[in-house]
Amino acid sequence: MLAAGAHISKEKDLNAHIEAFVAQIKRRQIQGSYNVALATSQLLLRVVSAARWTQIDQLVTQIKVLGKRLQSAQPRELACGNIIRRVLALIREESEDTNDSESGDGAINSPLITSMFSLLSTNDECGPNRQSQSLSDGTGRSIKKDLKPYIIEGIQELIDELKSIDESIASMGVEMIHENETILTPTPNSRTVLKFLLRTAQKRKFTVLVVEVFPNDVEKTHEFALKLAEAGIETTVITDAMVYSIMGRVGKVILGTHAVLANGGLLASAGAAMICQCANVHRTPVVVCTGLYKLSPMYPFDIESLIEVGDTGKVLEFEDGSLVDKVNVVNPLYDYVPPESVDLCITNMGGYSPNFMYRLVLDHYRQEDTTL
Amino acid sequence: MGPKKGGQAGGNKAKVGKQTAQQNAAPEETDQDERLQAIVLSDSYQTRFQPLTLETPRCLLPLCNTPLLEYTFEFLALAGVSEVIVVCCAHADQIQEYIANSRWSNPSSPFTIETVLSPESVSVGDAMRDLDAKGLITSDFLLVSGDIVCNVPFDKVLADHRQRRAKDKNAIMTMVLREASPFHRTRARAESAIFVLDEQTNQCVHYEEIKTRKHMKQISLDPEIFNKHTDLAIRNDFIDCHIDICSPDVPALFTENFDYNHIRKDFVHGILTSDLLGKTIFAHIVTDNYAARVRSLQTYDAVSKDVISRWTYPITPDSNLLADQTFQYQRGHIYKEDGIVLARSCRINSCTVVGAGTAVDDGTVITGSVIGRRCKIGKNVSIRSAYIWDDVTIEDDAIIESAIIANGAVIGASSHVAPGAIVSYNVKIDTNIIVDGNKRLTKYLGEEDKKLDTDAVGEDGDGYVYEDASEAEEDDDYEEIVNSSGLVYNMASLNASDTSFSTVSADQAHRKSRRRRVSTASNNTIASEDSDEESFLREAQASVERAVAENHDLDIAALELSTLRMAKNAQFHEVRAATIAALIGRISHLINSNTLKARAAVESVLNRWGPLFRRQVFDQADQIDFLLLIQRDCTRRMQGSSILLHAINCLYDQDILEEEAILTWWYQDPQRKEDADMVKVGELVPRWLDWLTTAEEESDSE
Repeated sequence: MLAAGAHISKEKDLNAHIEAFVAQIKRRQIQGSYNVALATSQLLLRVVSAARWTQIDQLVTQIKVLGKRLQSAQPRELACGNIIRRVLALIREESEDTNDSESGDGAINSPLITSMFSLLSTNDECGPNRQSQSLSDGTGRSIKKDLKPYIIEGIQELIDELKSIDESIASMGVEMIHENETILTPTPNSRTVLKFLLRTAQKRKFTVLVVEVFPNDVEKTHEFALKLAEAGIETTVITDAMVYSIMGRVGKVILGTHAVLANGGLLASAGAAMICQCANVHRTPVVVCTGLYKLSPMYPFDIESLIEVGDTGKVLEFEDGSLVDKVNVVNPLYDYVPPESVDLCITNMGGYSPNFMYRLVLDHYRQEDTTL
Repeated sequence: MGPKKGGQAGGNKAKVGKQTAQQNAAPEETDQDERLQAIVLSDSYQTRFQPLTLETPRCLLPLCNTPLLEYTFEFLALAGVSEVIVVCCAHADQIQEYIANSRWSNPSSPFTIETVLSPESVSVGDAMRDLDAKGLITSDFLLVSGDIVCNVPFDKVLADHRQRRAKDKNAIMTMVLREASPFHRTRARAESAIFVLDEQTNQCVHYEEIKTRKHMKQISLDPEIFNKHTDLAIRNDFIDCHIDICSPDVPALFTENFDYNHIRKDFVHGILTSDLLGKTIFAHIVTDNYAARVRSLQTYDAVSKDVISRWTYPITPDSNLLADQTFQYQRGHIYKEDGIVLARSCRINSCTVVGAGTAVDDGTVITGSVIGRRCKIGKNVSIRSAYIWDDVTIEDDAIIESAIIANGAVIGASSHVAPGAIVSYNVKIDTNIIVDGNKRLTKYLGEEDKKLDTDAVGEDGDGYVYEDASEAEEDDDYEEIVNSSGLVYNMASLNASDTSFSTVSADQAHRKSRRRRVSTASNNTIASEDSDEESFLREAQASVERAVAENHDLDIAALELSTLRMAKNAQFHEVRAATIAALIGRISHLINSNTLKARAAVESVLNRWGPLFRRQVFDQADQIDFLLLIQRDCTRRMQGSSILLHAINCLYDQDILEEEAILTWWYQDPQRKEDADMVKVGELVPRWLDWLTTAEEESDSE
């Protein structure tokens, strides 16, 4: 009786927590893909540790429902959905592992092959088979008691991965940037790029051109440039209009991104697409620094539905009554950069060609979770 | 229950804030000990939205398919408020029900919410006095009305206010003002005002309402202002959406001055013009974000447009403030919910919002409009800049321009709703009817049953032409409000040939030279001060006499006096003179009518009413002035000298007069014996002074 009461109040508490989280995402109080990813994974940690299930499918459905709710709170913030899918994949993998080790027949082909291929084969042939297996094997004694700590541990690892992502990307900087090279970066709001450059500056001497990305990130650009300059990097802030004329002298364009889509295309700060085009014309390599949590299994079929439109007031001063009344202003926050414009994606798993991104997607997410 | 909930929600929020390591994620985390209260005045105390507000309170009217109150709460949540008190007046039951069923009453709400009924209040002032009486306000609070849309990050504003408060307890209020050019669409034309601000500190030193009809060409400032402030900005380029941070003194001041009704016109103006209170009011000027208030139909239109074109980001339709909303953004500021049926040949143009369950038939064109849920729109309908709420049926070939069509209304085929019209709830308009722009149609019956206005709604129609009851009484003001607050004026070009409008613009253009700096003292004429003084004396004396005659409570009499003093901007000297005149008059009346002997009369009156002087006499100079006034007054009375003697004795006993002051008055003040009457009336005093000094010596020797 008492325990049941405690459980109900706990559930209520959790529900309130989720609602507050949704409200914060809507209010943009949690903003930026890193913050959203971190907050989502921490929320999932709470949900999983509070959840009760007898069959693993129940947990999966629970998380899917939650994922749908979070995703619809801010459909244009992909990081949230990515984390949910990662956790779903994790749960599925854990449950399959236990099933495999318990029922002998499932273990015939999987132990020998690496996880990536087993994933592929699951989707191709044994997918439905296995599904039904896990369902019918639901009797599989008290797997829930065994599984919970593993799932929690997995999410914990995910959080640790998120926290250390910038470090592992930054450590690859030395291989990317040559001595005395000129680097151009059009995404000064990216922490990953900042750490990448700062870390590399300890070993290399190079020049950075920071593009001002008017109107949304002007202040951040200045902060970014200041931090670089303080670290002893030769830094120049240039306006967006100057990019083409200066591109001939640039050695590499280093890009942070908001999201990476399954085809290798990017959603990066508005203006990035034009700068990448410009780099392509000059045959300047474009390198993208991104954590894996930004990798989304979505394909850009409808680009506009992925791009968030921000505060109009940043483009036009609201004070100016005559303009406000007569002119329509649009301020898209992101650009879609097609995969052809990008030469290399540096992730915390190493450098990949954008064409290879779909493999990473298959590695980290399950196809059945692509639509939540 | 309430506070407990808040604690939970606050705790949750703080945790998330830590996780995200974001600055503004949980503003209250930084100052958890300083919980911020917010008072939401759900009533507007105006009739501008009638007849719509006859059935629904203004704060629940939908703006882009979301009730206005949601925007206010969203702003409060962004501002990190932890406790919200909603003051309900008209339609209180509807508001309470709405809040109880909303997500703000859930445990996940970032603040606790409480509704307070104030059914008798008819103005902001009344509501504030009510709040003061209920003692709900414990610390500095945010005062907003229930119809604001704002995305200003509030931590800076609040920090500034608190800093000022820490330095100076008299900085009782901070007004949040958004810069905007004089002809900005989001400014309410009827309620324009001039702010005179100190350039350095943003202290507001003068406030003046602009009366558009009165062709105001000048304002007068107290020359004193120019001595105190070197750089002044006189500005008329603000959207003043009445977002104020107030100290608990504000409701108290409203109680003290029961004639204050309007927060700006009366309160701010009153506080700033009375130098006696010594309170200061500051402005916080916002230049980056959005802040506006829906206070007229014109601003309803403008704010809707602003929300649609994302000036209010992140508070936009696609944020889906209500849980069941499913708006999605499309290029060209078009917002569509799920489950809309659009015919292949209909056109939805830019800046349009369409709610769920709406069906639009072939050939219909919708431009810059808001369409609610479950509407049925027929073939070849043209809708332009109109606001159509839920469950509306619009039949084929109708034309609707810049109008508001409320829930459940039916517009017949081929009818034309002209710009500016309002069709209220459930009104039915027959086919082939033209609804004029100035018509407001309603089905809500007033006191008497009226016959259906078939002229306006047609044979098969249902509804009445709404006429404002106040129209006849205050036609001038009313006309002004209607003219400047109607939905349509916003859409008309500013160079409209309409005469009444062009006079407004000419008048405003006159003041367009904003930010004119004034650095030299101006020689404003101090007009008619003498007459003010006289009228004050007369009124104050009458007030005290009435209090004595009707045996009022002492506090009430004192309150009445102080209100009068502030209203007339009088000095304490005059207050004393008036009180003395009234009380001594009473005493001499008692004596003359042989009711009591001199001594008994003085004691009976002064023991009862003497304490009034405690709030009028403060230091020694005051006491001497007070004695002189009594003395002067007694010269006019029968048995003046004995009255004076007993009065001094009595007031000395009450500790209102101190020995030192009496001695100084008697021995040193030259005015005491400036004429024969004064000397004569004081003839008995030496005896009392002898007694005083001997008593002193005796007590000394003891």
